[in-house]
Amino acid sequence: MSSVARSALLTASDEQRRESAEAVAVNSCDYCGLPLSDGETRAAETRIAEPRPAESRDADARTSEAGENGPSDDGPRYCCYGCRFAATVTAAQGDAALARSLMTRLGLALFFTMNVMVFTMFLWSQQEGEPLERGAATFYSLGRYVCLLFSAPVLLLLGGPLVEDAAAELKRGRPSISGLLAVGVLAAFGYSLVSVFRGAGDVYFEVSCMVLVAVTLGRWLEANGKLKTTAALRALQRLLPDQVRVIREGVESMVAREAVQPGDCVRVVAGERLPVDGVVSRNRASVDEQAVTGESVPVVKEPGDAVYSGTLNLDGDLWIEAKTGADGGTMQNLIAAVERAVATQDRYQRLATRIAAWFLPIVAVIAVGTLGFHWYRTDLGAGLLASLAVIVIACPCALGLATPMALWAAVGRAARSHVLLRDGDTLIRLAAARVFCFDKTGTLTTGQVEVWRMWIAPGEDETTVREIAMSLASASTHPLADAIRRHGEQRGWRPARIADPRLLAGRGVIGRVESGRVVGGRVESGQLSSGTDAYLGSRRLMSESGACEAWDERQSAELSAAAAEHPFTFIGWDGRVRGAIALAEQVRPGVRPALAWLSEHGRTGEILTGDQQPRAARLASELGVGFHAELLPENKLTVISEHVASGRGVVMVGDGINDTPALAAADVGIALGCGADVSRYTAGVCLLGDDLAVLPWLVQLAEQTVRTVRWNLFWAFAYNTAGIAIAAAGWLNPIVAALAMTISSLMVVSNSLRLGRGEETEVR
Amino acid sequence: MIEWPFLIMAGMLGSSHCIGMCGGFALTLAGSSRSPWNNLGRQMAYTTGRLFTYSTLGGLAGFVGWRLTKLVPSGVHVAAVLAIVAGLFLLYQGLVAAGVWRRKSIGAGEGGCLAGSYFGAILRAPGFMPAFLAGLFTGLLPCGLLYGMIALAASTHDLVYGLGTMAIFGLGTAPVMIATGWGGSLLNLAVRKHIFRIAAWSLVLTGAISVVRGVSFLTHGIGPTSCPFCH
Repeated sequence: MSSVARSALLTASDEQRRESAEAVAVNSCDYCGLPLSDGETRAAETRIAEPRPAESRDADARTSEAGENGPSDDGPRYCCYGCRFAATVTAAQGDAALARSLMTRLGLALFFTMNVMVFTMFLWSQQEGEPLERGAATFYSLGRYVCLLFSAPVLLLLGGPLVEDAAAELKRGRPSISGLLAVGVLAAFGYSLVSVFRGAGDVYFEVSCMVLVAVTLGRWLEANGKLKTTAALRALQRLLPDQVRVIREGVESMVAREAVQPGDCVRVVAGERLPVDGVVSRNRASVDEQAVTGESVPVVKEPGDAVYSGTLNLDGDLWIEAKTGADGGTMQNLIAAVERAVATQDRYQRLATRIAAWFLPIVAVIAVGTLGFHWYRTDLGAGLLASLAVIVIACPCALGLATPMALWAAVGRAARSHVLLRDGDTLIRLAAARVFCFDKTGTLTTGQVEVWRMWIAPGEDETTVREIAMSLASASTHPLADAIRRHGEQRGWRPARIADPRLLAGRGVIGRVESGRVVGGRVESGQLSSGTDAYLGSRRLMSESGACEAWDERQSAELSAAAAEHPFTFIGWDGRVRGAIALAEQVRPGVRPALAWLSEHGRTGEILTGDQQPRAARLASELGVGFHAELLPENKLTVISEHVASGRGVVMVGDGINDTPALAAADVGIALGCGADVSRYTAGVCLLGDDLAVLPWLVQLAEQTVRTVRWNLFWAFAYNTAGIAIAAAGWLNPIVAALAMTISSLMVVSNSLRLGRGEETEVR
Repeated sequence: MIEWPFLIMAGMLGSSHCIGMCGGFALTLAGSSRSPWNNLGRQMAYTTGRLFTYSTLGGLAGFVGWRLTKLVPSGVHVAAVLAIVAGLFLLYQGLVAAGVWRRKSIGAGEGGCLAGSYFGAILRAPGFMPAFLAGLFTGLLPCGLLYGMIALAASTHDLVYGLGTMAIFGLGTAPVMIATGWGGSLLNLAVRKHIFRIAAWSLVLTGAISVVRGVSFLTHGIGPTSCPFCH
């Protein structure tokens, strides 16, 4: 597509884009930037939060307070306790101190907990055996006080945030697992406190401490994992400069990107990235557009050319007339698309959310039941421990994380490789798809033809034929002529001197040879004298000019076979055809390996094309796939619908504009070359570039994601269910439960983050 | 305990392994210290933190070992089994370190790298307290050598002995770690490579002794504290 057409489309789609941006308002966590799972939508602007300084977060809080009719929001919102914990410390002390004070808090708690553990173990090893002597009894009682002394700070350090989180959730009218945990921990601590002062009964300080430490550690690691899954997005955001040079009334000044208006003159010097979409108004430069098109070869931009935000000015001093504001450019749309993908709940996630909604009340009931049962059977202490264990092991964090973590990681990973996924569901369907349909022209082939073979009539001088072909082809802009000219240029054919070239629509070119001697020197030309008309064009042009009859049909047996499959062009003069050129569509470089991979891995490939049967057949047999030829767009739709109905899962790969209906009808639509404006495309998968070599990788990513999601879900379900049963029976110490839950969360997180790794084709 | 000298040796020689994994932390710590003496203090605080965690883990392991001996019917010599398990584990770690036994992936550094990003802030914070806390966390990092030692501590089936085992092992790692953090890399690569090999084989030796001790306890009923070579 030419840049002018591109920019026209850009403007045309502005409206559409605004609509889609409004339709999906993302409800995201203010720490890690991932969507909140409670299904409420916030009327706030779509964004992914970079961990920001406290001021801006406070400002956000104020804005949302100010917004009338908004949902009952009273400040920043977090998707989990870990994020709240991490963000609380930031808000109190500024961004730089975040990790430090968090670590200090955790570290001190850990230190005190270790002391409690050692003393408790010491007490336990004394407890066994014979009744204590007098001195030992005093020592024993002292040990309990020491435990109290060491565990109180832990309660303050880590219990505080937990209670805050529970209170915040409660204020929104939502009970939370944090609330349950806080109640359990406080009960265990209170019970132990009474025991110490009474001088009788068991103490569970170590339980309170260890549960707090393990839960905090686990959640904090989860929060960090989540932050990592949005790293790809932040990498995209970093491609947009914060400060922009704007020239107003001849004066250049640096302004914040947000202040740029359409129509502003923006100056971008070498090495800087473009802040907005626009048109070059002055100077020229090579621009690296890899970030939006996936194409690594730089493009030269001159006045009048359209340029896109997020691309890199390599070597010039570009003056650009901004066509979009700060939030309307290509890169901004791309970021918004990824954000929407992350925000959309997929099938598994909806399931997990439904289950999680039931989980909490059920857990609360089981915990209370366990407390009552063991209190009745043994004593209050045993009841407290057992029900605390139930709460700790039931904590549905792993369940809540199982699906989204994997999908977020995969969506982010894909975005880094210039593949946009509309949502997680797309990946799940892609993994299951067995039939891959391809549009031909523009998808499997570049849409350009190239010279396939050339025949020279017997007795003709090859150089002369080439030179005539070259010069006549140069006079026409027809795609076939274009292909011949490019072919000739690559091989150094020199054009003959031709005067008065005449274009005959649908037939070819006629030109008068200028001199008797053809340029090129070696030709001993009695055949071609000055003033002779030379022809380049279709068989019809030849027969009209009377040249075709003279073509030796025996010689052309091979030719006539090829003619069924290829467009042909003939060269002739003086009533005879002197040569023929067969052209073929150019197959994209990445197509062959991609199709080979698909068929090796049990997928069927099919070409859907409006082109003629023999040509489609030739390409299909060359690529080793099936085909449906001579299809009108509505026929393509029928083929796709039949496949969909067969239930085998069908993927349609096509260019995003002409094949839109087929793309939409397929289980997964993959659109090519949508880098310039992702918001125009409705396909499930958008390749920013047009390299199909990425297809096998994408299918593998999808398969791996589905495997990870299933494994995560199975693991979390099995773990929670079995854990609750064991805990309710009173066989599980809360400490063990806390450690087990932390390990479970870590496994889910690290399992999912593995998806985000792998070889990089990262945006530079 | 007969193997305490071995423990301190395993610790000292094993320190080359520690430098590989935790040396970076020590250097980060050094980078943000005000003066050499301040740095020395911070390095010591860091090591104390590590020692504290090691000792706690050792005590925990010893206690668990002790509980196991109480829980399991008296027909099974838990201590002996623990000693054998610990010994085999140390043997494995030693053989891996020596390069005799090849592991599929060298994933040892991954946990360290992961933790490193969390640690950075606290390591660079000035003062002794952050250094101590950083040490505390370092003690929790996944480390094969440490696991072997914890298994050994469990085989003592005693809170205090377990605690002592790990404390002594930790003390053994202190000199080289402190020296690294204080004076940069004192040893060049070639020397370190040699030491690493010696450390690996001394680990194998410690493991072998533990196994022999366990087996002899099982077959001869000799107490776990008696000398393995004297019968």
